[in-house]
Amino acid sequence: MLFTATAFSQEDTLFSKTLTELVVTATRTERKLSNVAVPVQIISKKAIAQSGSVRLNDILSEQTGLYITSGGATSSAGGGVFGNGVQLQGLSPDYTLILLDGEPIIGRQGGVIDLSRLSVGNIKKIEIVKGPSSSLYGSEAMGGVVNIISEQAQLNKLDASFRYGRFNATDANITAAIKKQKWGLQLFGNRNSSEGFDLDKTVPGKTIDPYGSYTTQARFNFYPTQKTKISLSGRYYNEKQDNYFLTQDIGTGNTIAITGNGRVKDMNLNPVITQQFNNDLRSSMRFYFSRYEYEQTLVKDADKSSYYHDFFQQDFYRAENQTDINLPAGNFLSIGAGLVAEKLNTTRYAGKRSNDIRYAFIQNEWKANEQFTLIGGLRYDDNSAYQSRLSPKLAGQFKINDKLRINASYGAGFKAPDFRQLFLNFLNTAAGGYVVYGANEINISELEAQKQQGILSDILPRAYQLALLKPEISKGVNAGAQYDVNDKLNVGVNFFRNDIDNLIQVDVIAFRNNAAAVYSYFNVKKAYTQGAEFNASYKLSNSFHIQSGYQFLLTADKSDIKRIKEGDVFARDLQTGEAYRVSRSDYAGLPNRSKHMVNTKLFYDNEKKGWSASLRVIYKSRWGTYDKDGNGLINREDEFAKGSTLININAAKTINAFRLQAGVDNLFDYKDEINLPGQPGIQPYVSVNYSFIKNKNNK
Amino acid sequence: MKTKLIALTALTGIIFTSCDKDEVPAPITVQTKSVNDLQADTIIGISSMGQPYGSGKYTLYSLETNAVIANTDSATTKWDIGFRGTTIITNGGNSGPGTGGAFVYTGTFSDLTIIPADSTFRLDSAPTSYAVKTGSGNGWYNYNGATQLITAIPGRILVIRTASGKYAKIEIQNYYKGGVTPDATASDNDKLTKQRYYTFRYAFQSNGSKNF
Repeated sequence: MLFTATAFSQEDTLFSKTLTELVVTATRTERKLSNVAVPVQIISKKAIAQSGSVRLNDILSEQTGLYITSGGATSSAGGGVFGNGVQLQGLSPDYTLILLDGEPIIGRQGGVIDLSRLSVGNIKKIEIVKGPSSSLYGSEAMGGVVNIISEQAQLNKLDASFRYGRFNATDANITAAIKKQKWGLQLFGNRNSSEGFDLDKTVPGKTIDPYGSYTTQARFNFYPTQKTKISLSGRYYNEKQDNYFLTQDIGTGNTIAITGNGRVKDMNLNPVITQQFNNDLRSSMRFYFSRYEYEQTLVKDADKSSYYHDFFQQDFYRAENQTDINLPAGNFLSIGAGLVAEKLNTTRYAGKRSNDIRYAFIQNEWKANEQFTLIGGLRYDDNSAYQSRLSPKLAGQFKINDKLRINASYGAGFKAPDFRQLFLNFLNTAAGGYVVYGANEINISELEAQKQQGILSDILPRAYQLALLKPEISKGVNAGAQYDVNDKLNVGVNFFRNDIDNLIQVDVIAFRNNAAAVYSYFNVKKAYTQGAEFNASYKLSNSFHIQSGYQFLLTADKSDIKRIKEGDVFARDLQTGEAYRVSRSDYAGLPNRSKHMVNTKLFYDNEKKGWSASLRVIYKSRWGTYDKDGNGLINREDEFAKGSTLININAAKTINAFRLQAGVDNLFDYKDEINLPGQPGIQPYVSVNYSFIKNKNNK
Repeated sequence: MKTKLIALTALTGIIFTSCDKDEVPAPITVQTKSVNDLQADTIIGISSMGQPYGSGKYTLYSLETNAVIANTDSATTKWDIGFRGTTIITNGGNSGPGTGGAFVYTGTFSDLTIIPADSTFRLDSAPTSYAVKTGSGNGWYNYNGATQLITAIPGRILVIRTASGKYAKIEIQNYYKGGVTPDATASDNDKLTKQRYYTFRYAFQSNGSKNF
């Protein structure tokens, strides 16, 4: 019963968050969206198709409160050169967890999971849980969780699609599914490529070099009995980017050409067995293995001698059990435990590094009556490399009437120190011979020994505070309401505040005899993000729907505010070069965040005539890039990138088994070469989709 | 040396040296001078270890005469401060025969009207410690590892005791040629070849008092 209900649930409706829409990410069990007490957003397959999205970052960038970081060569705080990550409630991509069918996508570069690694072609829906009320998912679920739910075979199916756009951008998909009584098989293949583009012709080489990637995905579901489900899913991703650029050989001053390529491989395997013992007891055992590999090899074009080589390989193993029990008096209990083993092999550290984590969680959902639901949960993470962590969560919902619901939740999420912060052991010969130690690679007695040997000239007081790192933590409160005004209009509001503590920062612990600094990592910084999110959806007619969302966001580094209040922070006037004292109102908060973000989307859908279309307007206000006047803050006009408005349009026509779509992304050719090198400007495209098997049960 | 010296507008400050109402305020006139593009051991090559290097010599400067002093005079009291990369020396301690010293004051250039009586002037003890502390965030500059750019910290005033025991205040404004920090996206070559050019302004009190 349980499985058939979910397996054959209706396709999600695009516009109204109907009461029957199911969400799994919020409570780790399937719940109706209207019964979930934490802020959740669902993106349906249909919305993805209507928006003409190709990669995960495309569709996420059009959602309320989701800020896609990209490009800026220096914006390490918000993504930097490491691809497109996503901020939730103003927390950096480092603090958002990206799940594929409940299992974490690994392979963070500079803290960021590059969302363009993920094709949307095989997605059933995307669930986004905001704020640390998602803390039962463990490390990184501070800002929230994006859970990509992939397709499972529901019907026999064979679909192929091809899209072509500017810059020779292609995206080809093939989807096949076989569904039998006792089993189902879903297969998916995607190829995505582009010749890249060049925003600045005066600089030799392209802004974005040509790239191509393959994704293959398979999922096999087997139902040996009515009450047992066994599934095995796997994914393999392979990307290659060809590099070519000119640089000046610093030694000789001559211009030299550099060629080479970067490769990304990403694979995972996920067997799951679920048993419904009786109406009140269900248990599932999940296993997950994932490997991420990144390698960049650059050579001097003239003599093919090595210019740069970087290799990074991460392995992630996890085994987890979750058992759900129906208890009397409206209680629903979920308990679980798991083991994680992580291994890292890279040219950046001395030798291989590994870390094991043991964790357990418990959650109880108490449905007091038809109106009131309360959920409490706890998760404990234990390991040897950093301090253990207990993450609580509490959420409540009160249904005032059929139309109005109020929700409030509290959660404390964490992010484990990353391998670099724990294990780095790095002597930079190129830039002055400084040294960086991961917190587990150095201690005070080692430093004192080095001073004895004359390696160090001075040990700073900071060094005596070297300790086992604590995870970075965030305590978040969300409160909001949903109001279904009538059949046509529903509105929602959510207020949030996240207090982030123990942020890890590098600090000087000693000086070497050549006056170069020695660094290590400490839990020092505190920050906050707060704001409000508004959403509204209105059904204009049977065919027209309009959706709109707005997020207001304020952020700050608490120590910066303290320094400003003490009058210790100064800025330099751009014209006169003279310094002046920074006031609280000059300070713009954390970099890479827009105070205002607005999206408005108009959808047209006429199934009878086979036409659909969309017009989407995405606005974000100015955002801080990086400090230019030496005070470490975003405060001066030239430290901001201008606000941007993107307008995307498309139309599609279905004729029998064909679906034809044409559209233009970024209609007004918005570009910002310096701050958004990943934005190529206007992108027209056409696509065609053909269904080989037309199944009548589709509707 | 292509150093350009420009005397800016004379700054006239009227300082009340005492809180006593009856005392007649003594007007003090101290000129503020600007120095642009003072080369400080600019980079001439990259070592086999990948480390950029210059000739290794300090550019010596007299605040009193507002002029560059030849390196051959390094053992004299003709100069007051010296620049080599981000390192600044004063003519005192183990750097020179003078009575020089320095400390870094937090505040604006115009905030500093009198050197507090309880100020401690640090002395050079090269190569391990300098009157003006070295290292990112310790003294007058920040180094951003991500952009590989050096930025003069606003609101850091170098308070200098000169070779002859007089006082001056210096605000370093920029470390790059033309007084313009390259963009974060500039080439490594630009960042390397344009650095080690000081733009600063200073006020030198010739009467030996601690008032500016």
